[in-house]
Amino acid sequence: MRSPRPFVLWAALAALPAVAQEDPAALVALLGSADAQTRVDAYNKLMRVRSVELMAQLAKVLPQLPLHGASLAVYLLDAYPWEASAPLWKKLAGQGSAFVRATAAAAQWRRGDKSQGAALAAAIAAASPEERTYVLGRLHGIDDQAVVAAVRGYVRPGAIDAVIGQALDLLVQSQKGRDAETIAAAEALIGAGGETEAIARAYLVAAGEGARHAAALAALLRDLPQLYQVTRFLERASRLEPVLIDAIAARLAAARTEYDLGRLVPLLQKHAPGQIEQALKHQLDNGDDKLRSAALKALAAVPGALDAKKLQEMLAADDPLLVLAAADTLRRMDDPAGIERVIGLTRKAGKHRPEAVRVLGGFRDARAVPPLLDAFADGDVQVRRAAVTGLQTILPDLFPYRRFDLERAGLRADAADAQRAEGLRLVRAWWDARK
Amino acid sequence: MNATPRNCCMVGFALSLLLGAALVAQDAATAADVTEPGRTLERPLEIVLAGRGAEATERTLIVIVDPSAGLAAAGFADAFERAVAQNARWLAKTRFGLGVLGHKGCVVLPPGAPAAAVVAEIKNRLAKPAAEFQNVYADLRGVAAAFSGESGAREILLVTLENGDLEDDLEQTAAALQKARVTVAVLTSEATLADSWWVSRSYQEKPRGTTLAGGDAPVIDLPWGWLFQVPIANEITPAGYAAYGLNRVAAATGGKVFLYANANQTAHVCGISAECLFCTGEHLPQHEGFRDALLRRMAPSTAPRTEACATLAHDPWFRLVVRAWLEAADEGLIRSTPSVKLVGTSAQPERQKNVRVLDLLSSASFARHAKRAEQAAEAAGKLGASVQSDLDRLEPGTGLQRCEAAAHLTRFMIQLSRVNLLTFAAWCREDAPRLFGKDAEDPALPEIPVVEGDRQPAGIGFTNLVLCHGVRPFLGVELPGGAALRPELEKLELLRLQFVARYGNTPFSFALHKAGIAEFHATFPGVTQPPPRRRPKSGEETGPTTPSRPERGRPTTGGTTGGPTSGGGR
Repeated sequence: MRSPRPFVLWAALAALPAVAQEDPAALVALLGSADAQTRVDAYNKLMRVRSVELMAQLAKVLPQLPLHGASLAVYLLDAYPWEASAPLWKKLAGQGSAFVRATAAAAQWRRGDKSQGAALAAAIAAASPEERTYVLGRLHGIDDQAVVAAVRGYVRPGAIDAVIGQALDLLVQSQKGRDAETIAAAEALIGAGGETEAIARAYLVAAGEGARHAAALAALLRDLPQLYQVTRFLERASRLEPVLIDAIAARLAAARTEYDLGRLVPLLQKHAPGQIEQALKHQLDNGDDKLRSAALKALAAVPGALDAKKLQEMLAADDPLLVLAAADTLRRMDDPAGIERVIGLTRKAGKHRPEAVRVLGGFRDARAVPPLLDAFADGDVQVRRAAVTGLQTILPDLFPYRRFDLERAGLRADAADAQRAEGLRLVRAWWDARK
Repeated sequence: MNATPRNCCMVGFALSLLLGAALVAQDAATAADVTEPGRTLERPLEIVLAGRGAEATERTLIVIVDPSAGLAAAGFADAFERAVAQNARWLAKTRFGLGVLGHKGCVVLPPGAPAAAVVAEIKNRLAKPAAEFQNVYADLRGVAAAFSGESGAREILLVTLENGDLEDDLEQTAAALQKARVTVAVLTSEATLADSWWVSRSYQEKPRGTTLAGGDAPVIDLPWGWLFQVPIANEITPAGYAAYGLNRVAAATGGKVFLYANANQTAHVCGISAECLFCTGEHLPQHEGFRDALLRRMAPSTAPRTEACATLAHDPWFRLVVRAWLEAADEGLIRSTPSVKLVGTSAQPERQKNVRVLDLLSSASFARHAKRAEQAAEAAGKLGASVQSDLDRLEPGTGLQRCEAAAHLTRFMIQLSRVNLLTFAAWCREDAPRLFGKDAEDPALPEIPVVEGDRQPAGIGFTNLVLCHGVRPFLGVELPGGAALRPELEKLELLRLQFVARYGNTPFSFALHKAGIAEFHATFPGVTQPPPRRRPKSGEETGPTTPSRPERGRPTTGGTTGGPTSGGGR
C-alpha cells in the first residue's frame, strides 16, 4: 500500500486537538501543524524530552515535514551529540526537500567531511524561494568555494531583500565571499534603489570598497526605514569613510526608536566614539521615556560624555526610568549614590518595578539584599525573576568564600506559592543570622 | 645617637636622595617626543607617504614589513595601497624599496621599484604570515647599507606589530642609521609598562646573540612579581608608548613612532585572568583612560641605556624603589630583584638573582603557613612604614615623575601584600580547619558545601579579586580576617586614593587597579598521566631554526580615551 501523501497526513494531524497530544510521538507529529503556536508549543515540549528514540523519530519524519516544521525538527536534532546523530545526518543527505538535504550536508561538512561541499552547493541551488532563508540559516562557518558560488546565486536583481541581505552577510564573513565575482554580483544591484541598493552598497563597504560606495550609501541611509540590513554590514567594516560616519551620526541624532539607537551607537563606538556625545545629547530631552533612558545609557559608555554631577542631579528627577538609568550609570562609575533612591523605587508600585529591581541587583552592596528579598515576594513574576537574578549575583560577591544554591533553597521565580514562601523564609533567616 | 651600621646606612641613603634630587633633570628626551597621536593605520601612512614638504621632494623610502598575522588582520596591505593612491602627487619623486623582516638581507625590492610592485609584494607576503622572532635591529642595519648611492632624503618606514622586543646591538643600529643619514618612522603596537614578560621567562628560546626586552623603558623600573598577584601588572598594563628599542631607533634618527590598535583592543576589562566581584563587565572606570599631559610626564627615556641608567642612578625616587625592592625580595614579598644595580651614584643593568620564596602554598600544613604568613605580614608592615617615611621626606617634583609614581606604587603594593598575607593567615587559621577538620559540618541552605565529598587538600591555590573598583567595596565583603582586616583595608584605600589623585589616568594607575586581593582555596591531588615517551630523532621533522613567538595577549590602552595625545581610534 502506498503511504498517504504528506499533505494529507499533515492536514489530518493539524486538525487534532493539541491537548490530546502529549506523548513524544504525537508531539513530533504536531511539528507539522499549520498553526504556528501549536508547532512552537510542541517544539518547546520536545526540547525537554531527549531520547535516542525521539531522535530517530525526528529524523524519520523530517523529510516529510513542511518547511516550518522541518526547521524546528532540525533545531531539535542539533541538540543531540554529533556521535549520536551522525548516522542520521548521513542518511538524510540525499532525502527530502532542498532544506533537509542542505542541512544534512552542512552538518557533515562542519564535522570534517569536506566532500559534502558539492552536495551542499547543489541543495542551495535547488532551494525554492521560500526555502532560501532557511537554507542560509544553516550555512554559518562553511568556507567552501562551491558553497560560496551557490550562495552568490541568491544575490541577483529581483530577489527578496531579506534573502539578498542574508546571503551577502554570510559571504562577507569570509575572504572567499569578498572575491571579485561577489563584488560584481553586489554591484549589479546598484540602481535598484531603496533597501536592495542599500544592502548591496553596505556589503561593498564592508568588503573594502568603501571609497567608491560610502557617499551613495550615506545618502540612502537618511531615509531608510529599517536599519538592520545595513548596520549588520557596517559592523563588519574595518573602516568607514567620514561621509558615512557623518550620516550615521545624523541618523542617530534623529533616531525615534530604542532599537535604532541600539544599532547605531555601537557603530559610532567602533568607528568614531567622539561623535556619539554630540549626536545623543539632545535625545536626553526626548519625550519618549525609553528613548531618553537608552540615550543616557549609551552616553554613559562614552568616557567624559556624562559627568557624575550631572548624573547625581538626575537622581532627583520625577521620571523613575531616568532615575534608574542615572543610578545604574553612577554605580558603574563606582559611585553608589543612587542606591537609596533605587531601593525606594523597588517599593513603589508602577511599571518601572522590574527595572528598579534589576538595577538594584547590580549593586554589590548589603543594603540591596533585604529589598531584593522583599521583591521576591511580589506577585509579578518579572519582578521576582529580577530579584532572584540580583540575589544570585550579590550573595556570592559579598561572600566569596561561601557557595550558594538559591534554587535548591526554593528561590525560584516560577515556583509554586508555597515553595516560594518557604524559600524566602529560609533565605531571610540565613541573612538575618549573618547580620 | 649611636652610629650603628644601620643608622649610617640610613643617613647615607637620605644624603643620596638629596644629592640625587639635585642632579636629576626632568627635560631629558622621552618617548613622548617621538610618539605621534592616534591608533590607526591611515594616519601614519598619510604622514609618512606625503612626506614633509608642500610639494613632492626627491627621496628614497624603504618600507620594511614584519609579515605577522596581526598586521594581515589589520588590513595593512589595503591601507597601504589606498594611501599610495591618495598621495600619488607627493610620491612623484619617491623611489620605493621594500624589505621583509626575516628575509635574508631583508631587502626584497631594492629602491626604484614601482609603487604597484611594492603593494603587490606586501599583499603577497601578508597572505602567508609568519610567527617567528625577528631581529628588527639586524635587518635595519642591513637596510641602512641599501641606501648607498641614493640621493635626496632617506627614510625607512618600519611596520612591525609583533617584533621590536628582540634586541642585539641597539646602539650599533642607531649609529649605522645615523651614519647612513636615514630617518626611521615606526608603526608598531603599544608596549607594556616596565614589561617583565621575558625576564620572568628566561627559558624562552631566542635567536643567538639576542636579548628579549620589550618594555617601554630602557630597564624595568617598576618592581614585578609581588606575592599573591596573578597576572603580573607589568605584563598587562599598556604603556602608552612603544617598546624601548623602537623608540630609541626613532629618536636617534629623528623619526617618529606611530602606534596601532584595533577597536576591540581598547575595550575595558576589569580583570585579566582575575575575577571582579563588583561588576559583570559593565564597569566605567574614571581612573583608567590615559590623559595626554599626564602620560607625557610618565614617558620613558629614549636615551641610550647607559645614559638612562646614569640618570636613574641619580633619581631619589628610583633609589628608593630599588632599596624597597631589594628588601621586599629579602622578605619574600616579591619574586624578582631590580634590573639595575646601584653603585655609588652610578647604575648598571643587572641580571635577575635568586630570591627567597615564601613557601606558603605547597602543602596543606595550614598552621605552619599561617605562622609564616603572619611573620611576613609583620615584615611587610615594617617595610611599608619605612618606605612611607622615605616617601614623606622627598619633595614631589625632585626627580623623574615616572620614578616618583613607581615609588608610590611600590608603597601601595607592600601594603597590599600585607593585606593578602593577613587574609591568608586568617584563612589558614579559621576557614581551612572549618572546611577540612574532623568535625566539619555542612552549612544549611541557601549555602552549600564549598568542598564536595571528603577529599583532603594537597596544597593551597589563589585567584585575584581585582581592585579595579577600588578597595572601599571590599569593606562590605566577607573576607578571612574579618574586623581585624578592616583597618588594613582602610589604609590600603587611603594609599589608593592618594595615588589616584596624583597619578590617576596614567599607566601606573592602570597597573595599580589590575592588582588584586587574593582569594584562597584548597587544591587537591589530580590524576596525572606519564608524559609520552620521546622517540629517537630519526624521522622527526626538523624544527624551525628561528624559534616561534609564543602567544601573548597584547595590551592596549584602557578605555577609548587612551593614547599618548589623541587617544585610541581615529
